[in-house]
Amino acid sequence: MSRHYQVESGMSLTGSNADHRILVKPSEQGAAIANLYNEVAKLTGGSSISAPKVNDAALGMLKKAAKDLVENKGKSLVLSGSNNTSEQVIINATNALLGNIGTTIDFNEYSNRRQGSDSDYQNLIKEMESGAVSTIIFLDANPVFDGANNAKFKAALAKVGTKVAITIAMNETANVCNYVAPCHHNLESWGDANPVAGNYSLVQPTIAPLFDTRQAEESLLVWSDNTMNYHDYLMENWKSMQSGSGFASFQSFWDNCLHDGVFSTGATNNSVSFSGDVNAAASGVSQPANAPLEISIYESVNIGAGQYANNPWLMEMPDPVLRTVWGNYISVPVNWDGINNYTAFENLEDGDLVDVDINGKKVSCIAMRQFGQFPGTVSIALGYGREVVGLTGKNIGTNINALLEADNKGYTQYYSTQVSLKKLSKKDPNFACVQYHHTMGVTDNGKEENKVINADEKILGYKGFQGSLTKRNVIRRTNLNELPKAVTELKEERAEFKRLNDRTLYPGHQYKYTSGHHWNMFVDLNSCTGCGSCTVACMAENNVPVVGKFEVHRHHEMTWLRIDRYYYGDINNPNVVYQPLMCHHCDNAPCENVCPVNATNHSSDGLNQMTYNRCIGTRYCANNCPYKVRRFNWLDYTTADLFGINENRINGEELPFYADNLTRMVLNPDVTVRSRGVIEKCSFCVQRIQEGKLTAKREERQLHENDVKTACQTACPTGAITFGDRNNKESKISKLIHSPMAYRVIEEVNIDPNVVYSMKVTNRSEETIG
Amino acid sequence: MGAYVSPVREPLIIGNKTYHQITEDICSPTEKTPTKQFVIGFILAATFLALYVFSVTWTVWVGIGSWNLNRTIGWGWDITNFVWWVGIGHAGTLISAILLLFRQKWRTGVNRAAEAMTIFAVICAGQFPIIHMGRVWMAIFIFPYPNTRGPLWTNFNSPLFWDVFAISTYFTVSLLFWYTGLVPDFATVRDRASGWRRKLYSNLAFGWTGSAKHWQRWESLSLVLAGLSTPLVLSVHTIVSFDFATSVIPGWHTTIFPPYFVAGAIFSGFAMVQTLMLVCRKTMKLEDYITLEHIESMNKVILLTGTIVGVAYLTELFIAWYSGYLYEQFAFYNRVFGPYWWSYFGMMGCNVISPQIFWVKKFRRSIFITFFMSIFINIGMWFERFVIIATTLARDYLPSSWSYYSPTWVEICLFLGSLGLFFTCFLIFARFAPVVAIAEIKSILKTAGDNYIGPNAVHAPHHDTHSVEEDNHSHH
Repeated sequence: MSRHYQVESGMSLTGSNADHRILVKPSEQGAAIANLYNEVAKLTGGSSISAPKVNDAALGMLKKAAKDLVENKGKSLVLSGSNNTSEQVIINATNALLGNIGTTIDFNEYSNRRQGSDSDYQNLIKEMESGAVSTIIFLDANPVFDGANNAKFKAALAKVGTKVAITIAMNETANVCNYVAPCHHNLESWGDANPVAGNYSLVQPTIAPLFDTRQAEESLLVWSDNTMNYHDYLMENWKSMQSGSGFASFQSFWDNCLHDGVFSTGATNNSVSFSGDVNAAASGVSQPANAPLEISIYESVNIGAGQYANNPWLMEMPDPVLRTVWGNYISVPVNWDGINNYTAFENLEDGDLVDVDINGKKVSCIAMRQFGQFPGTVSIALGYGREVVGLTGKNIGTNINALLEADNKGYTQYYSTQVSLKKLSKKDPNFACVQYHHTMGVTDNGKEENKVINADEKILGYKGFQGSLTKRNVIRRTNLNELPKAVTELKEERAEFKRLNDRTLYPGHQYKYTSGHHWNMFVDLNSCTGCGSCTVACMAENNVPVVGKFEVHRHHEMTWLRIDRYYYGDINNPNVVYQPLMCHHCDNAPCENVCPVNATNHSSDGLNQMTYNRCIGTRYCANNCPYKVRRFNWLDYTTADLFGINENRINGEELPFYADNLTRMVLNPDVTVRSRGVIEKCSFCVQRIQEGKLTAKREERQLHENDVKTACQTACPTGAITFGDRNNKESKISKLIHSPMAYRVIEEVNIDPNVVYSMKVTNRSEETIG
Repeated sequence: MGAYVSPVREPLIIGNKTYHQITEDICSPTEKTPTKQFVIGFILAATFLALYVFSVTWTVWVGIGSWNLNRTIGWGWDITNFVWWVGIGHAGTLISAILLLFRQKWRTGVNRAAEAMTIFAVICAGQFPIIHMGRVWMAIFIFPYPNTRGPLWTNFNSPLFWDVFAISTYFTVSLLFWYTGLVPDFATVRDRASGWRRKLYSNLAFGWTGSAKHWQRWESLSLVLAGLSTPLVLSVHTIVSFDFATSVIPGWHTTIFPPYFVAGAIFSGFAMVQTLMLVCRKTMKLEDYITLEHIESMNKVILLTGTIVGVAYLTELFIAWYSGYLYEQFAFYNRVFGPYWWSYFGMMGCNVISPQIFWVKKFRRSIFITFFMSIFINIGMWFERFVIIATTLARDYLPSSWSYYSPTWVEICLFLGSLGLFFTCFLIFARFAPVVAIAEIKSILKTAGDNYIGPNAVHAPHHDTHSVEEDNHSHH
């Protein structure tokens, strides 16, 4: 099993999935990289370089990391997000020492993405300032918003004579151009791509253009006086690739590529070795600062650097770590007093407004207390606070992009040591976070008791963070060295649950659901990274409405599938577990027996179904759901009824989004749009199940395992979600649910859920445990 | 002046009433021009009723989103109000039916008003399960009427469906019982009235003549209805408690709920009777009929039921600990020390601790203290329901979903407005119907062993009873 060390100051999504987090200040990043190199060099016989000092705790951990790396020479990998070329040179040198080049780092099938250059962009500013640029064309770019030194960029741009923006929607850059050329959306366009060396793919339109737009490439052809249309141009271009493809005619080659979507020319054969100057690089690493506070700035998981800010699904998707929506929130470290209480930096509480001064520029942010944030640091996401954008993204959150600066080589620096933070006496009245309890099993060496204490239970009854009794059968996790013990324990506990659950008042119903299909879902907590793709896929597939910040503030989010995030382990540097939670389709469903009108009931194949037009909205089912996955249409989120007054406006739009015919095009015609006053919840994508069944029936065959896949399952990048028919003994699901690591959440309540989880296993170094 | 006095028993009616005087005293409020107090009270109540109508309209028009309930807490003030009102509606039937069967004659002084209170409280209660529906226009689905939807019928497993029958049965029987009692009294008013009032009351009196046959049937019917009501007093709140007890939510899933709810209901019902009676006897000058004796008796019931409720609270805590079941333990820990701790302490303080002062006779007989205690208990019992409903839902199995809830103005106005509905109904009742059961109270003016002390009295009475002393003196 792999082991992941993450060096960072704030809790990132990647860091939250690591086995160990090594906490450093942002300015210590270079020092950490250089020290890691030295430790690796020490063990591999290399010569060391001059390295700035990194904090002691981090150094100790870096030594352990180096030991693990060297023990796994050729099978390890060191990566850095640093935007300092010297630091990246040292990273390459470290990998070279570890023999990773050519093994874990593949130069034959490399990615072509991220080839932009920050320094070229800074040079462009200079050139524009000097008047050397007469014409500029922006294609899918918005540097006036998202580039470092963007105020300078905007001022310099004014000196350019002809400014053309090719864009699908207005943005900050297009707004200051002379010409805007509206182009097709991706789904309306032809195109090709070469994302990875040796792999070519084709883009073909799935819909006729909705508006009077022209494809970007088409525009370029026209402007270059080329009379060929883009489709022909594209085909012409591909003709050179036919040779060696094995196809006789170009037409068959083309048709085949279109059908497959990809054409591989095979991997190249590059011989690469490290030839950098490590010692020269050592002098270029960033130096640790002695500042009382540092800030790290990161691209948001949801909306990147701001390019997706106008997508309501992404705005409403909770940040995987913070669990906040509709905005960026500044993460401030929490301080555990070692006895029974937490305080946060500056006594901040969630939702407090703060003034932040970064590099002499002042912005107002909303605070959020964050476990695992290194003391003396804060962090905040980029991409928010856009001004020229559709209604969804306009003025949501704080514009941090405007504060970005570049180093002397022109590389954007995503941290600052010139930062101060002042608490204001106001709170964000609509502070929106979908999870208010964050920990499950955080421990500490208690100050008073001198032994490992359960910090969650110590906090019970105190204000601030909520305490909890933590031996809940919700999350199961263990470390690799304790896995056999955990599996035995799980087996014993499940046997006890079974004994209790078998003592029923209604015996003799075991035959139920043993014939026909019986749908089950399996979620591997080990594979789940908490990225949130499944939650967005679910909203798209099932017409789940977006409700806006105010409604989420009131806990009115409609998500059928959510990802719970809990911290556990060392309270000062916890590990994280993510748990996707959807309707468990319990065979002994507590929601079903309480509905007075039978609006929710059980299908013969084990689905807990909602009959929307029978629902009268008593919410009794939601109350009685132990997983709290049922969602009520508090207002007319989908503009389905005749009343105007109860329509929900998200960001000051005049016409509610769902009343807009363009927005309504996102609705899935296979799924009912719910009106206000009814309950809804995960249906296991029943429309897909029905479609699969119908296909099998039409083709006069048995239902195959691959006929039915839920939206969340198809969206999951790590394959953490498996769905299928439990009664099909050949299916993957029927094997997975009997894995020794499989468990059901609160199985002892005897609700017989049809969602099965697999225990999370970390691989922490044994010597660091306890 | 004449009166009946007993040598051993304190009289249930004081003031040396004659039968005619009783009629006069009780009928007169329906015959006189309303007092200023009444008019002010009525305007106030009607204003709150208007507020109620407005907030109901707002809720239906805008949706339940006009409230602050959320994905975790699906019931809050709405169902709290429902259970609170149903609870209040328990005293009337208990007084009329169970005390009738137990031959507690003091009940006649308060039973009419208490029954009226029951009817109106149940009316208020019945509103909330309807208003709280997301699609109130589809409320008819909860009735098992024949339809063409095949298997999609009402769910006979659902406690909410049982509620429909529990509440409607209780309402029907209580209404019949109350109206049956009113028939001879309406006839009394009719006989004294003229013009449109005579017409109105003759309709209301169903042609009552006071014949022996009428009385005989009336008595039998009263007994039958008392017999029917008695189990209902116990069953209604038992079924309401099933809404919670049959669930799987820790803090709801409790077998103690039925007796605990019934005791709490009687407790709060008596408190409300006290509130109303103390105002009525003062403003309608009924001190002779609703005496300190009544007040003290009811305070004893309050002390008893309050203590039962207190024992239930402590039992819950004990069982939660004793169960060894983590979720249960946490649910109760959360009740006491969680973010809603104030409602738990409000409940404990008002319901368990403060009624203990009624161990002292002086306090039991103090009108001032009784009035404040009755208000306290009503507040405490509201808190109890809030604790059970909202606090429990706020934090159950999965900590990720825990939340907090505070009401919007709509929810607050619905509650205040329902008080308006209640008091408007009650004031109309007090204006048009005899608030004390004339026929029944006359039956206790003289009980076995009492002696007549008025003119033409044969025997000189034994006069150690304080209240008749002056009267006796004048006849000697």
